[in-house]
Amino acid sequence: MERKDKDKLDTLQMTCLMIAYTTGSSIVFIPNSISEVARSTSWLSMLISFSYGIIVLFCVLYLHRAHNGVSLIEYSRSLIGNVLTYFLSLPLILMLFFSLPGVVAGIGEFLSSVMMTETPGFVFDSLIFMIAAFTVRSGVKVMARMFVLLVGIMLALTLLVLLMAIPNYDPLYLLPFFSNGIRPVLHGAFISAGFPFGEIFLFSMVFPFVRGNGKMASVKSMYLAYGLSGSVLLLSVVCNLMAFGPATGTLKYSLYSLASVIQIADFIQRIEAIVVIALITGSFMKACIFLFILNQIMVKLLGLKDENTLVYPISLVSLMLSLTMFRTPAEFTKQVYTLWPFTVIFIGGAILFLLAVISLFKQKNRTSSAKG
Amino acid sequence: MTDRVIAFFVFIAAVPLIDFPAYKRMPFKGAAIYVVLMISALYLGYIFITGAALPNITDLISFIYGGPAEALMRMFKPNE
Amino acid sequence: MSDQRTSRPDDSRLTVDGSQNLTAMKAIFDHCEDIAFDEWTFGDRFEHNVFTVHCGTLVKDRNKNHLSSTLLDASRSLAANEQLTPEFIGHYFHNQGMTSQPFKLSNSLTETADLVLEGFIALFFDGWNHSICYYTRGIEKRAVMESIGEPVVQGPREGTNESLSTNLGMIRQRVKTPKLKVEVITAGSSLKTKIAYLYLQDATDPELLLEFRSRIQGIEEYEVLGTSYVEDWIEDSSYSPFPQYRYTERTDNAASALLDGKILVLTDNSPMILICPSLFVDFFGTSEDYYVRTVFASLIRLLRLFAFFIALVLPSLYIALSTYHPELIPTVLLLTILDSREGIPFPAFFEALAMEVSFELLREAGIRLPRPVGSAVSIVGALVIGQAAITAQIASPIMVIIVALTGIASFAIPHYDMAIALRIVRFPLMIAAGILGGFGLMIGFLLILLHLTRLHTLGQPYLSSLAPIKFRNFRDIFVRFPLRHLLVSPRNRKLMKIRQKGS
Repeated sequence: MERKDKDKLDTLQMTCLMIAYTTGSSIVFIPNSISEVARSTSWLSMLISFSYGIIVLFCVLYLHRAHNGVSLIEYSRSLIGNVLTYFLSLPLILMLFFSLPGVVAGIGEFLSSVMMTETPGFVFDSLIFMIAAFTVRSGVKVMARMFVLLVGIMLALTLLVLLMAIPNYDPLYLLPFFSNGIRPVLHGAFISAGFPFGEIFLFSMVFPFVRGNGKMASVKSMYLAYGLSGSVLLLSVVCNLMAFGPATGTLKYSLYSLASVIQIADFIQRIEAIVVIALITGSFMKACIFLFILNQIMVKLLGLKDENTLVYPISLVSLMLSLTMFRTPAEFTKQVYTLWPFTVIFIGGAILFLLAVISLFKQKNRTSSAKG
Repeated sequence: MTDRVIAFFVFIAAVPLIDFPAYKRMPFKGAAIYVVLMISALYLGYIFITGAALPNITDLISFIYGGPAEALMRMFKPNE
Repeated sequence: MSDQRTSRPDDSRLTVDGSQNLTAMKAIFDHCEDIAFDEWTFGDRFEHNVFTVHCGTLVKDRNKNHLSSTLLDASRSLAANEQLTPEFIGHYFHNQGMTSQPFKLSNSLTETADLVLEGFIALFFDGWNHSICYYTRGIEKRAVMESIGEPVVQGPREGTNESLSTNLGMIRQRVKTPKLKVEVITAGSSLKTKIAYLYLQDATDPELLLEFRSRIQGIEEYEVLGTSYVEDWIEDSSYSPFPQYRYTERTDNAASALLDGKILVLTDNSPMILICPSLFVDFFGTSEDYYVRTVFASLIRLLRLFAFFIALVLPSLYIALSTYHPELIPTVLLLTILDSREGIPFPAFFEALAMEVSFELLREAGIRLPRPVGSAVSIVGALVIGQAAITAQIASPIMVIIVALTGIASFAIPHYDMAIALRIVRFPLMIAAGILGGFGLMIGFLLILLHLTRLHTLGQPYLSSLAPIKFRNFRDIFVRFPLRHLLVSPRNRKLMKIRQKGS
């Protein structure tokens, strides 16, 4: 089904999708795991992984332009052939069937443990998947329109919380450097490169929906949006470090804990609910985009005309996965902070770089054969 | 346990109910994957209801990527 | 002057024989006691017969004798020694001779009958197989007065009445350009309602017009009682609680909507003007905003936005906070609430539901009561029931305040259809908040947002200007920039562009 150009997203909508994707669920958990290993150098880890992310984004945008705006699956077909594409997309599908339930399980776990302890977890997960399925089925344009508003709300609330916590900050906590050498910094960089910065490689399934057929109206905006997401996350890390110091690594939900210590003028206290709105909104958006990407991979692989065919089954399977995947918290930690970054960097990143290199060679061959 | 059973039945029944009109128009490839997904959902539903420790996707991921990932971890944390 | 010689193939024709025509007409109007048949003769020896048919209840000025003016007109063209005969008269009218008033010719029974029912008077000459019809309609209509539902403190008070021609005339008076196009459709075989749709040629998006035209097709077969039937026929989603079109009974509203590029639909016998399409953000403005000063208009718009949220959310918020998240309420207020809720047997959700439902009952009952009794019942009913409920410890004072605030807030929304939408949507939100607290509320909001984003009105996204976001239009949504800025770069840039191109 050929999409007319005006039915696609404009720059603002695409950038908001990107911000939602990068910041969405990360805002809940950052910087917990990173600061657990990297302590006060967490912000350095973030900078390193952000740079990795920029490189990945660069490759994605290059491939987008070089192949006239088709999706990852499609240019993979033209670069390495149909069979290899099927083969390569299997790990991608596996990754998505992990990350999509992971996002929802994360927010469900959060709500269950912190906010409403008597309600069984499956209620939260199922409702979020239900709305995510409805949203994805409504189409990318509807999704983008909604997310422009939701991203604004999410960012505004996050910044509000970070601002209001200023009385709690102690910049001295940022000081002790490199107490354990460079390894913790690299470890932290590894974790944050997997979640969320490296995940941007999957966005190559979303970029086809922006106007321009490969010639994006403003490539700069994409980098700026990515930079904005990175800055917000970095800011969150820094603020958390300043507020909690060495204890940052022990708090499972950093931003939430930050909101709970805010106390202004006796009246504004215990405003965690504000943050919960931002967290639920962010995770919801990320889940929607993951669902959209997974659905798109299947649609493009199978050549389905009706793009909404598989949305409900995928959502159902992901729901069941989210309810059964993590048997213990230790399992969660291992999967999310060890295995997932590994797959994002060494499988996802590798596939992307491979395709970029092959694409570069093919272009060079084309130009040299045109000359000669 | 009962609430899980009821919940699972609601989930598994909702999908065909909503998707029913689309079944006639579904191409073969799509229908095949649809069925595969629904069967996986049933399997996972069984795990969900009974809480059995049957193999899940996390085990698959650990199996494939576990080795190299653990090696990497040892690099980051030599003392552990 | 119009001359119509149509004849539908399956209709019976008029014959040359006058008495046969008379019998046929009497048969059509059998048992219609308000149709008057008059018979006349003319000529030297009173040899020519004429009869007239008109609908006594529709016709004004019954003293005017159309027959004599007809004969006079025709006789002016007579040669010196010619006699005035029906053949000559027929000849005269077929050649469109000058008459003192416009006429229609018809040689079909049913068509003449239709014209009589429209308020025409039909003359049948014995010896001629056509009838001459003159327009004489003049039934009493409601006077042009202020629209009851849309009063203003300062501004014009011209409201529409039930006559299509009066309404069209009032709009023409405001928009004096031939670019204002008026197209008329007739619908239904029993009602034969005239539906007119208006648009300003360079202001309306041609695609919008195309979409509208394709939707309104097919309505001609159905009996259309009023503009709301047209609304239901052309709207995108009849099941959505949110209105996709606006109604107005003020001509200034209508004129400003035309400038915005909207299409107006008017129906005969209905004062309601349908403005299509109508975006979500249009429901927050009234014409009065443009008659008061900028600062005040902006503040009032913000107040309406606030009222919208209160009307939608307040009861659900109360339920969610008091039942699931009491820690979020500031301690002082929390103590007050707990204090006032002491002794109430129901949880907050049922209390809220009961109070809201009784408020809705009161409101609905108040509409149908005659005026003198109505207001007394509303006030006394509300006070008494509220006070009685508190004393009986069925409801807490806080709940009564919340319900009252919600009700007042919903009255602050200028458009009735949107206020209804809020009333409807409020209840599912209350249920969601009652089951899952804050999370349920969030899910409810997301669902509403999704629904609104998906909704289209005549092909345009319902939340246009918000989603897809257009900052330029923000000058006239939540605040109102000075008219200078709104006029120079008007809401409708097309009009401006074309004017610039032209000049």
